[in-house]
Amino acid sequence: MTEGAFRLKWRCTALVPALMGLSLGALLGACVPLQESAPDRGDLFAPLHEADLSSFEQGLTLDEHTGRADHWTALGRAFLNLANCRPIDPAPPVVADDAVTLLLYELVRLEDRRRLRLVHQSFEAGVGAWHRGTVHTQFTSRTFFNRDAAPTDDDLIHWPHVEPEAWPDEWPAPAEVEFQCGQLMARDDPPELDAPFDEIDAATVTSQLLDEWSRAEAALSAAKALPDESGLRRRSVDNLLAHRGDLALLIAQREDARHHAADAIEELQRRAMKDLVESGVQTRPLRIARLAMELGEPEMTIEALSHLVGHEDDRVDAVARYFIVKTAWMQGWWEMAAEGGEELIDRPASLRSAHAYFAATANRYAGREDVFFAIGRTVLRDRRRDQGDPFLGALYRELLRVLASYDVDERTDEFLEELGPRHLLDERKIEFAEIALDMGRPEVADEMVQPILESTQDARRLPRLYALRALIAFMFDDRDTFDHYVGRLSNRPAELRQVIPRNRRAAFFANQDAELARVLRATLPLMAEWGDDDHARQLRRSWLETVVEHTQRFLRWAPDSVVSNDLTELYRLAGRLLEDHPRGYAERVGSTQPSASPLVLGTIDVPPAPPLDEAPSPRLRWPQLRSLLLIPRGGLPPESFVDVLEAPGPREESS
Amino acid sequence: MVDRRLITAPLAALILWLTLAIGASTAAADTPANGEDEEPAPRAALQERFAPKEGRFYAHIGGTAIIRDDFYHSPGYGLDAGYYFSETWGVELRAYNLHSRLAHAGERLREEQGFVPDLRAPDALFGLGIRGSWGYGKVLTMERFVIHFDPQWIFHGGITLAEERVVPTVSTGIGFLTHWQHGIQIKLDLQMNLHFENRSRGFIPATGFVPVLAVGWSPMGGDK
Repeated sequence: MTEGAFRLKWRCTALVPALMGLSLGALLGACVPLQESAPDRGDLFAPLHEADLSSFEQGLTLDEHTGRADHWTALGRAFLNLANCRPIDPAPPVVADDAVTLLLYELVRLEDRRRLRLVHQSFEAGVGAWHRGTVHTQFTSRTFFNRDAAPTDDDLIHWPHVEPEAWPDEWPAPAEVEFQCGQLMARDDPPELDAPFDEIDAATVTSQLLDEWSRAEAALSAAKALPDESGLRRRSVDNLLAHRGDLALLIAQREDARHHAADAIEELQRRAMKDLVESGVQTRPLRIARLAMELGEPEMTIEALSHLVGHEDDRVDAVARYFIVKTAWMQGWWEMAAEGGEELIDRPASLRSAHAYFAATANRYAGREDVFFAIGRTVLRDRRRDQGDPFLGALYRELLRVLASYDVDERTDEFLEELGPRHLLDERKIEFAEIALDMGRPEVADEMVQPILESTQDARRLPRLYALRALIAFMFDDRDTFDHYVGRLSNRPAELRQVIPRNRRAAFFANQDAELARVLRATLPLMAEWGDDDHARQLRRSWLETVVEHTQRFLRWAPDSVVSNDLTELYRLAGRLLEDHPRGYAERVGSTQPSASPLVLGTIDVPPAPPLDEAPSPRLRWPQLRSLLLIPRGGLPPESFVDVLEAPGPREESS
Repeated sequence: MVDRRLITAPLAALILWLTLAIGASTAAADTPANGEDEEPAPRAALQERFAPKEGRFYAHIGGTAIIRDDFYHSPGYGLDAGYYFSETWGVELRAYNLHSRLAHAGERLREEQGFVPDLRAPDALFGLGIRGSWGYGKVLTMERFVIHFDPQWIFHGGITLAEERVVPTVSTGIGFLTHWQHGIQIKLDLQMNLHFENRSRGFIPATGFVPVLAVGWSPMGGDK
């Protein structure tokens, strides 16, 4: 081997190891160290607002995996458990001094308890749709959230299972979040919750309500401890006060609770109402009004309801105005009731007549008869009175009573025309005449009855008109007219007796006979009111003889009349009032009572009672409290937290 | 001169080790962990690719050998260059220079009998192929370093220059592409080679084993 070849070979043989060494060194420098790696989590609650439960769960798990879990993570886990109907830890695993997150956590727990109670209540009552109008249309919905595992970037490596050893450069993949609320709503399978459905009873629901009350109290204390300037404080306190008000009313409806602790329940209601009032009557007027009604606080009732007058919901507005007028009327606050009735309720129809009655009569008692008449005209104009509407009837009678206190003029006819359909005008005039007679105004009755009597073509009306004319004549001391019309009433024309079978005569003349009996019966107490001076006694004796004569004659003519028993009794009564009237044999022999004169004192004016027992009591209803939750939004102050999530957009088909 | 038994034995050990390692890891995944009764439910995990390949070129310089039972030893060196369209598929150009010489048996035959093999000694290998990554793996070494690798399936079609002959050639096999920092890649291909020679008695197929060990670089990859 030449020297040159040796050197070349040496260089080659030396070069190769050198290169290999260099390569090895470079290789060692290029080794990939084992490093932690995890994506930036971003806003923890953003997926929740996007209704992506899988991504939300992944974010929480990522925090726990990387050791970054804090109190917000614990709060997020509580929201996740709420959406999955899983138990929520009594205390957050990571506790912070942050009063805000502690309160938010407690609100989630409270909402969870409320859900359970609502479900049990619906089961107890046998009604569904317990979640309507609440946040549980989202959080207890099978379809609201996207529960499918969120798609991952194709560039990422997807390891199907995480081995017991965890690689620091790996992080949990999105997983499907199973809907586990089926047991909560299943009615066949008992849920893994406080009580299986087949053991739910009234006591269970009551205890849940009381438990919820105490939790709400605790949360309210925590909310009130927040800084005053925090909008979160105002919203959470407002919601909790409303919730407590609802709970107080619900508890008060529980029969078992009322039975055992009526005083305590009243105390709950008072506290709830007091707190609500302190926060501002205008904030929750319906609840305050209802509580005030339950507690018998009319002033607070009216004050709360006044905030609802003019409400955009016509029904709420009508109910509020009705209750204001009725409450004031019941307390005798006529001015207030009259003011509340300035605008009549048109709908619902169930409240219209009652409201009109209270408003009209309040105006009358407050001395405003013009308004009283105006309301009556408005309500009754051209309307046929429904016999089943007690308030329209009561208002009508009240109008006629007041009208009867005035003399008849052309306005009387006009007014009576407006109180109903035109074709029933005569009927109204007759009713008006009867009321006027009851009130001792025969001249008014006479002005109404005489034209009708002269013009009527309907013979069926005659007995009633004759009776009225007879009574009018009695009150005018017009014996001849009285005799004339009583004779008309008691008359049994021979032509009719011939054609009507004997056993049908009583029924045929029944109406007429009843009017006769009414007239004769009415005279006795009226006579008693004449007094005891000589003139009155003379007059009374004269009329008693007339009455007795008519009664005796009728009983002889028509012994089979339907009113014969009544008139017999009347005859004996009137006879006793006459000192020298001959007694019948049966009276003298068969009577076991010592002979004594009956005492007739006179008439009693019993004004028609307002039909208060039939006054409608519509329920004050308000929607369930939508949500107790306050859901954080990343990067935004607590004042921007929302109580419900925005509805998600169309979900893409999962691959 | 390299005895092919020195290559095949470690190769067989490597294949055996890989098989056992894959089987063991699968078995480990199926075996429940000892200890606690309440284990968290198995859950998938995600990981970023250490060195994404999609849309990147690469170039590898490596050594190879065609190991056939035809009295020749054909070691060589060359260049692979390619491009990955996606994380799964890439195309590759291959150009290897081979230094073939007779093996000891062939040399003795030539010296004693004056015979030389009918097959021509390959001088160069050119091919166009595809590489398909059908998985991703990583190995923890020395409890502090991780070797990330892509197991691949490889197919090449091209020509082998054997003296004055141009022989159509195809090769297929598996490969392991490992990723290192700074874009460095090291790969080990284990392919079977098939070429057809036109001899006096017609086209004669010949097979061989072609391992490739190469190191290279892919721009914009691997830096962390």
